[in-house]
Amino acid sequence: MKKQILIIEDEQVLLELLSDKFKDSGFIVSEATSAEDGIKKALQNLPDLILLDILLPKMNGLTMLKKLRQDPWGETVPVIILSNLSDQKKVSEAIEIGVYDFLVKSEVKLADIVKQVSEVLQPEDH
Amino acid sequence: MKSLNTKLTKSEEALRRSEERFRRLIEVSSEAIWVTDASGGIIEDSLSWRIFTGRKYKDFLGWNWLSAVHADDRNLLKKVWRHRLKTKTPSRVEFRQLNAKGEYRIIKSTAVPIFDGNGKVLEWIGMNQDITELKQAEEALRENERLLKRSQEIAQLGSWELDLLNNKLTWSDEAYRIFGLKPQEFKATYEAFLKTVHPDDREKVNLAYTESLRKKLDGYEIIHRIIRKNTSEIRIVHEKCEHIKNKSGTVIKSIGMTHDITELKKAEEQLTNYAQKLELLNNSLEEMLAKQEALFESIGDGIIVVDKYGVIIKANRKTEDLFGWNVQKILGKSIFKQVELEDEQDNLIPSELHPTLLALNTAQVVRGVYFLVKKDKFPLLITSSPVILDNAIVGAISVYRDYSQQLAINQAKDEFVSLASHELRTPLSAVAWSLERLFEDQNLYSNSQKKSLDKIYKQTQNMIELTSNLLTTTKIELGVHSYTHEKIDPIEIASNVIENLKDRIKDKKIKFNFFFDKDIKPYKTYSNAIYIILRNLLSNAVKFTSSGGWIRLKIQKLDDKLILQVTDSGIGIPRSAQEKIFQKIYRANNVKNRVEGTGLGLYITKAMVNYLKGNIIVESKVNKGSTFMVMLPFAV
Repeated sequence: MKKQILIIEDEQVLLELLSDKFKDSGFIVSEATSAEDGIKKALQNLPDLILLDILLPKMNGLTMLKKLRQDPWGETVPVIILSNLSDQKKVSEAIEIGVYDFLVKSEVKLADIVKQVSEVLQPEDH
Repeated sequence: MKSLNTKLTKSEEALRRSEERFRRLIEVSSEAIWVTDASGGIIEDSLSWRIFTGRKYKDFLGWNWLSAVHADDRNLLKKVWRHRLKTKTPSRVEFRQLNAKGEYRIIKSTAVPIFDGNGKVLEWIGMNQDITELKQAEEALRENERLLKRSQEIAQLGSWELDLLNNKLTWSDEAYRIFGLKPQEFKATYEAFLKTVHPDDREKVNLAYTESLRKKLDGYEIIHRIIRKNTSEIRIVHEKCEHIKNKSGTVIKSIGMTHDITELKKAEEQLTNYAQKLELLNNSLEEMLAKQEALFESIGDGIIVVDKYGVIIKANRKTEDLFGWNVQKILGKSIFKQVELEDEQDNLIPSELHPTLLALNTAQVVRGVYFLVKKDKFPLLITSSPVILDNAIVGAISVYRDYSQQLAINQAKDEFVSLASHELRTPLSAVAWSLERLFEDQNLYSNSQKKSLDKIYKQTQNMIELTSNLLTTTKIELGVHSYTHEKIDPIEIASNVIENLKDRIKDKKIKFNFFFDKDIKPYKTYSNAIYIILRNLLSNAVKFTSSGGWIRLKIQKLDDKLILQVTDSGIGIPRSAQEKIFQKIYRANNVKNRVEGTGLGLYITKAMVNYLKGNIIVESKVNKGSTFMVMLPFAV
């Protein structure tokens, strides 16, 4: 059964690249370009995993995550941060809220992200 | 005839009486009186003689009286007698004689010859006087004089006496010595004395003396200089004189002392000098204290001084603004109750973690940002230093700085860097990911197209690295680089770094070895700093080692230090460049145009090593390879 992921990313170019890659890799992809939209899509589609950017218009990704974690479903959904912020404080903050990993966009290949997501979703195969 | 007889009888009677008187006199005399024949043999003795010697009259008949005389003095007496017989004149002699108690006493013996009508000596009559006590008194007097002289010498105290009636001046031996003369070298005169006085003081001294006489004073006292005759040395003397007056008040005698007080004066001068210096020191100390006090009060930070129990001893005015208290009211109270602190997340800091107590307990300077528990919570940068006296902690001084503004500035800087980082990386990520997508189907391109794509990819990666290093450098320099303090296993961090470099190592066919001590245990440190150090050193090693070369990573525990050692068989660093490689944007000649790089990696590495209070050293030979060794203390 195909896994469904939600990508929350405000940069259109990056969102397209990610979305295409994941679709090509056999995932069902939903997209959001803001935190507010992200929460809505998440609670609506109940994805298996969320790829979350931090710097978003209005509300940032970490604030959104805090809100999501208050939801009974959102409390346990695996989240991987995919951001171009590499600040140690942000990493610590994210880990405290509860994320699977913190990836820096410019330092990872698309293939690595797909690999990472697959590992989280199918740990028994690894 | 009868009258002649009567006369004769009378004369006889008179003679007999005279003889009787004489005998009685001899008997009662306390002096021992004796009579000898012309040659010295005893004829007559006296009661006192018998009492003195404790022997009987017959024991001394003839020359036997010598037996009572001290054996050493007998020859002297015999000599004296021979002289007496020859000269027939009265004479005196002193000798020792045994008394009844068996003690030798000193005897003065006087003998007078008695002549007959023809001038021939008939008898000698003499008197022995016990002068032992007298002699002892004389000896004692002489001893006293000797002592006086010696005392004067020791005290450098000379004395003099001027008899005005006979105009006779006498100086004691020491007085001569003080003036640089041999004792009793010449007859003392007032003029001789004046000559020894320093020319500048002469008039003053003369006046003091003459005025005291003229005004019939009891004496005078003066301190003046003299010049010693034998050495020309200038000495200081204290003269004190007392006048003795007759009934009409005229001075008839002056008794004085001359005390050499040169050493005393010198000591006094030195003392005065010290006193002056002390006063100066005291003044400057007072000035310093006043300055300190002024500084203490006017400084823009709050300062609180506590004793070793944390009781507030002193606090400056600024603390009133910061803590909203009255300084007078918090003196003597506990700092832990008066200054309650919490962290950014509103957790109360327990008193055992209060910076002041940490400083008191660890004897180290404690520095950190805390938040004051108050209506409007605000940040304070607190620096607590222990005060150590004679190896014991006696208290602590804490400086409290309102950190609100600094915190806001730091936040602004941080946000700027974050934003810049994000904005620069986003297009690079887009390019990198797009290229990745293009590479997914290699069959679409010709060889030359592939080469071009490869170039674009490499340049993008370089750009990403440059951006990353530039951001880290900016953060370090702005002081907003954040470090995570957590318990980590350095071996695990190294493994992660190696994992991330795996592909590049494989691509260049580099032989990689990793050695580590098994007993290195996880410990608390700034984890990301260690990560950056290892990543930069290993990434450099991969970059500068040619295909087929080798790299070795060694992690060891040495005493209280963690040692990270990266060795490669790379191109090496020229000697002249070795000390410059840790500078910003420095690139050695042998890599400038051949190997990609930013010139920031080692600068960042060094900054991280410094942050961890460690050291980094390099050993390298061109075309042989390099070794970077980092030593980090475990406790940070």
